[in-house]
Amino acid sequence: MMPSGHPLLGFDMSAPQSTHSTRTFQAIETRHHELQRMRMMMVDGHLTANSRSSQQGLSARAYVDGYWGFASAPNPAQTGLAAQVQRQARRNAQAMTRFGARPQLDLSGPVYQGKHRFVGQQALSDSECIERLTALNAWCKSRYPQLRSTRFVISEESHYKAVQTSRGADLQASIQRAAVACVMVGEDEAGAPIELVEILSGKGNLADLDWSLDTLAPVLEQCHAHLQAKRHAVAARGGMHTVVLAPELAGMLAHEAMGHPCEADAVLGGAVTADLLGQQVASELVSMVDVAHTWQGEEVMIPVYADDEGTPASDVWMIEQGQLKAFMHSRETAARLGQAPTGNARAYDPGDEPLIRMRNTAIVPGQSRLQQMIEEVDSGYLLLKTGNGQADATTEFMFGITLAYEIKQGKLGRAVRNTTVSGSAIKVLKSVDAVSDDMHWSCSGYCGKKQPMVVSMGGPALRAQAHLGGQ
Amino acid sequence: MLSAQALLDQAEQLLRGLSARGFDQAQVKLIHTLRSEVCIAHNEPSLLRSNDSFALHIEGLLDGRRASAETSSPDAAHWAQTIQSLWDSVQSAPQDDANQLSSGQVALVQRGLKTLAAGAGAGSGAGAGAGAGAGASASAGAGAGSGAGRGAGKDPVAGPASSSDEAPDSDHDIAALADAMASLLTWRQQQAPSAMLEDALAGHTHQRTCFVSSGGSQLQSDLAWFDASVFALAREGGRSSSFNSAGGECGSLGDLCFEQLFGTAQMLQDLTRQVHTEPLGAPFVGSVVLTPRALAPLLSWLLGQLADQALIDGSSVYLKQVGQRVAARGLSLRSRFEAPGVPPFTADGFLPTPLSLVEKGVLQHLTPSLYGSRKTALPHVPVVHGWSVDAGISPWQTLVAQVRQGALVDRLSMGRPAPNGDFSGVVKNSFAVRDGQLGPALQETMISGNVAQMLRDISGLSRERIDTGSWLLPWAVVPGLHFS
Repeated sequence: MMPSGHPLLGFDMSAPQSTHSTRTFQAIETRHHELQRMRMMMVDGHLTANSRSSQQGLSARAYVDGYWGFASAPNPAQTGLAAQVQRQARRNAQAMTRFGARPQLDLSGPVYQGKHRFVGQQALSDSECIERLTALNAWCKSRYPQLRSTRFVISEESHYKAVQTSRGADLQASIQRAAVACVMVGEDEAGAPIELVEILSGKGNLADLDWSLDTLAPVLEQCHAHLQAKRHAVAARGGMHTVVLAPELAGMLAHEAMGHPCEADAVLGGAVTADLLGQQVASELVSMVDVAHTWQGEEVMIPVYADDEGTPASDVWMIEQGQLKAFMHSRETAARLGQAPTGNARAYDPGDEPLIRMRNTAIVPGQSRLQQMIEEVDSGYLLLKTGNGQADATTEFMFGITLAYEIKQGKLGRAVRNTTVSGSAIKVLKSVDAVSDDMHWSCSGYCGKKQPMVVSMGGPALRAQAHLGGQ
Repeated sequence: MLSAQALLDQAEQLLRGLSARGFDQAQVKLIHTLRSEVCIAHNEPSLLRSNDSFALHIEGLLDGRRASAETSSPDAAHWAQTIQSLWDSVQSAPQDDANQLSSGQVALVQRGLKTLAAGAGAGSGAGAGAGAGAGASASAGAGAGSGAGRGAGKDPVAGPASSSDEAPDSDHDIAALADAMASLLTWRQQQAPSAMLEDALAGHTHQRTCFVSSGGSQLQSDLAWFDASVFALAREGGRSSSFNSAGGECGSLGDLCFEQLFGTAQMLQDLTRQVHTEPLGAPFVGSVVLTPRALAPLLSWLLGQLADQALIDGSSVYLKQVGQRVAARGLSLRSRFEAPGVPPFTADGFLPTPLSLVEKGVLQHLTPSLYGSRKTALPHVPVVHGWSVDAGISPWQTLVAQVRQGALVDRLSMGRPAPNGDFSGVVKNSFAVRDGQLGPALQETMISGNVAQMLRDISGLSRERIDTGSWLLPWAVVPGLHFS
């Protein structure tokens, strides 16, 4: 790959302008970042949101005497702005020395030079988007007249970054994703509102997603059928149960349960994973990876070839056959823990500094069949959809369950009201006794950790013991 | 920092541009923000950041069609593209009689700004009133002092890189941030040595906003505030507590040490007692005492139920509940729109008026935006964030002493409650309560219930409250929850 040669960056490599002439400038990185977003929402045929936003900015982060300084400004085209934010970043780092001397870390390591830009279909026009939304709303209204409301939300998000570092990294890269969400709102048998969300997501823009009525009709039929089942839903029995997590949920389990505790800043902050490297933390059936850019020969949904520190991105196999093997790193955490940087330092918005973030986190498929996994359960639950989740330093995790069914003697029973699944990730993953042979990837949500972040997650179906909230 | 007049000139120029392009109605919002932030990572000072950011938000109506666009570029050439993009977008939008833009709103609000004479040692920032209502009332806010804290820094630090026409905010703001962090680090070392500040920050924001519309609205604000947050856990040997966080916005970091703000000290000291946890035992039905931090998500759910989306799609359980009892008699929920960091205008360009949303348990208003109001035929009630719950009469410890079996809950880790209010969640950073006595910290304990029912069932509120800027909340005790 050739260096990007981005015209707006470049370096002023002179010594920092400091009142403390003995200080030496160690490292600086500069990022030109453009973030474009589009969102439309149609509720029962009414377009209630129709917005486009474009953010762009130039930022610099300097490492001086063991401290970081960061500065950003909004107009990358402004003459001399790169030098200006670099100077400010250095000044900021120098100002931190008021806290006293701090050891300088060796942040060297491989650097990346290259360009990666996703080229997909030509974007849909606003009128094409609105035509499709109108058609989908009309179809739902005629087919499901008893629903209180049907809401469609479509969105696109595109990041373009050009990063140069004083260590020689020089890259340009883009990430684009699109999503279509349908929310059906109905009533349960007591007249209280119930809802169900169906989301389709993928790499590229909305033209790269197949969200035609022909494709979505069977998906919407299924969503409606589940919503009808929720009309008569029963509360989950609170406590430990055998649960079959559908593939959609395994990615969330990977991300929340063991992904966050394997971020090296969390490790340094006291996550219990700090003392577990090399130990068995899951069933031998479980392997878990944070994919950088390519999975089984195909580019993943959120491809990261190099991170915002200019580090070439590599896959991180956190768990291999149940053993905890590795953490995700920035250059700083890699230096602190004496390990190699992995290319996980990413910033969300043009004014954000890079933090350790997951990219495409997945549990690897096994050899069981989902249907068989259900049939083998005498009493338990099939968990199908989730809304959100949260991790903890203790590896205790939770995520909300918006669609679930009882399993009785190997057969699906009544739908279950919204509940929450939780547990110690290590206990839950150690209890896994079946992993399905299929895999589901999605990239619709945001990971939250000081900044939001676009990530994808994937996985097969899992059968495990976990705690459900309920009566 | 761009001057208020420069922002106004640019906004009016843009409005003329939108009108010339052919829009029937248009509105423009410009925001210029300077922010500085001192960060701690893993109990050590780590980073000083300064952001100079700009946002232009334009919205246009054409023949009942509506579109909006936003850019962060302060470049006029880029604005022309943004106007053209808006024009293209509005052509294809469907007509909707509910579409309408702000009109007749006029105000200038200044809060938290340092007076020239105040220097680095001024008092806490205070709100200044602004005219309200859609009657073209105008008023000018008087900026009160915002403290910069305990001594200026030794190292002169220039302001953020900026193409602005005024000097950046002065060094003593950054010195105040650094002092706050230094104070927190010292306090932690002495009072909560097993606590690990995984991530903490103290920040200062100065933001100027100008909103103009073709309907004659002209809303300007000049706000400054401090904010601070800490995300931490405690660790002993190979064991860790759950993480927890505290934070908020305030007018000054100078009057109090950081740890005295936002319940931070209590949270950190509690963490050190949460490393060793015990399971609950058999499931039961009992009570929770919710700290202000844990009460806030319940009230957020209530506020969401009163706002546009739930009203328009009909999923709100409160759609026909104005004038009805929706919470315990002791609960009154009132606005505090003047709090630090709270925007003085709604996103669609209206001045919110102070209000009691829930008065002694009775719902007083739904809160649709102008669009939501026209869509649902409900009265338009402009609100921003910033709410308080009236204090009770008992110390929070007395509320705990009244619980026979249950938990003192500082954090609810849960999925979003269902539209009908059903929820279940893991109680985190929580202690068991039995016969009025606080017991061990809990592990892997869940509660389930219904948020709407919980609000009706609140049986006590504490006299103490925690002020985080956008929330001023007491402890609350709620019976009848399922523990498992």
